[in-house]
Amino acid sequence: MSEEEEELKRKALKALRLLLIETSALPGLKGWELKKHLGKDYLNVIKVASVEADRLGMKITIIPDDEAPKDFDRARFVLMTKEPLTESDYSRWLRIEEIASLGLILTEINLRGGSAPLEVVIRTLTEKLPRWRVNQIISKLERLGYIKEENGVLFKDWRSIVEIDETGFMKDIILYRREKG
Amino acid sequence: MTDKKEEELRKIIELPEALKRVGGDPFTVDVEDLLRKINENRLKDRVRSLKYESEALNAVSLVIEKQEQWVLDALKGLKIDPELIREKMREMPLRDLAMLLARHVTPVLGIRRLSAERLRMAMEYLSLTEPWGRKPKLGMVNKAQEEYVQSITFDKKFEEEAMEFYENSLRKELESAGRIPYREFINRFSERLKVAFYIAYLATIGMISVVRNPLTGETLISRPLGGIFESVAIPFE
Repeated sequence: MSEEEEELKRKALKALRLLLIETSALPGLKGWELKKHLGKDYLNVIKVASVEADRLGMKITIIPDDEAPKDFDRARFVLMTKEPLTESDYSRWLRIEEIASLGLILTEINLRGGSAPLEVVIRTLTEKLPRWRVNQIISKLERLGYIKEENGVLFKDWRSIVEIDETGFMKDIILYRREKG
Repeated sequence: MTDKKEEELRKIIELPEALKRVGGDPFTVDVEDLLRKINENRLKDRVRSLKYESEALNAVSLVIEKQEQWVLDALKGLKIDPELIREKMREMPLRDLAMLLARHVTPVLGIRRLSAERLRMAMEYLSLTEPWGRKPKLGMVNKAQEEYVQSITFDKKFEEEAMEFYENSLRKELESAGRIPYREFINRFSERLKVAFYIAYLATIGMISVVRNPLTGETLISRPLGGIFESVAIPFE
């Protein structure tokens, strides 16, 4: 391995460490932060880091900035698992009723074309859960970045867009059959 | 006349925001009609007219963007009747719904660190507290009360145990009977206090409801119900 390649690999491992350790309320780092730590060729370093991440069952995902979707410096780079959660992992993510509520909210948002009135969502959730718990869950999902509320209307937030394969989820709902007995 | 034209243009400008608020099908908006209106409502004052026209055209482009997004979302829903999906989700137990979603989640990873400021606060707090073993005693405990205390040990995480209990001991019976007398149910088990905990937990997360018949005073376990929820103490001895 040449000196240059070794340096690139060293930087790639450093990039993985940087992405894994949260330094703000949001996970991962912005492109400009990576540039500061890894140098101008940080995109090449990220390519090598992706290969290393792949070996560990992880992947690097780039979340474009809303205002400048083509600017890598302003995009957020995050580390994710490559495979979906297994049943033993669920409880370490969210509680059962919180996951179910997120499913209900995302479906309502999708069925309404990208946004759903908060009132409607609360009404739907209170058919299954107590009102006080619904309020708690909505706040928690907002705090984690799964949904966002603007003037009484709910939208999907960055984490739902990045973490959830909604097409697969909707397909499973359509194909769902309740077990009898 | 100019006011009326301005009004028409303003309506177009506010359209994307209204669509965002209400939700629903953006294809109810006729884009060609909007462009025709922009053309017809040019103002005499050229500068003002240009300002309004550019804002209105921007609004139309936002509506078109919304329509594109709507098509993508409709594809995600595989163009199945929304009411059909809502009905399915209404009937689906919370656990099944959660499992369906979790199967399609690849979470973002991250390790949280304690900031220097929070560490300093923790050190300050620790320096103020008494060392282990020197905590003030809670006082006398009535021996008669101790006899009612059962030792409860949970083998797994409490929530998992409660869900397992629901699946194995409660779900089928609730589905067939609809309602089960609380006291009778609890008395079937040797670890009654533990079961009472399960029932309380399952009710708070909405898997079941616990209702009281106002005429007989009997407490019943039922399938989840809507309505007003409150926290109450239920004696089972």
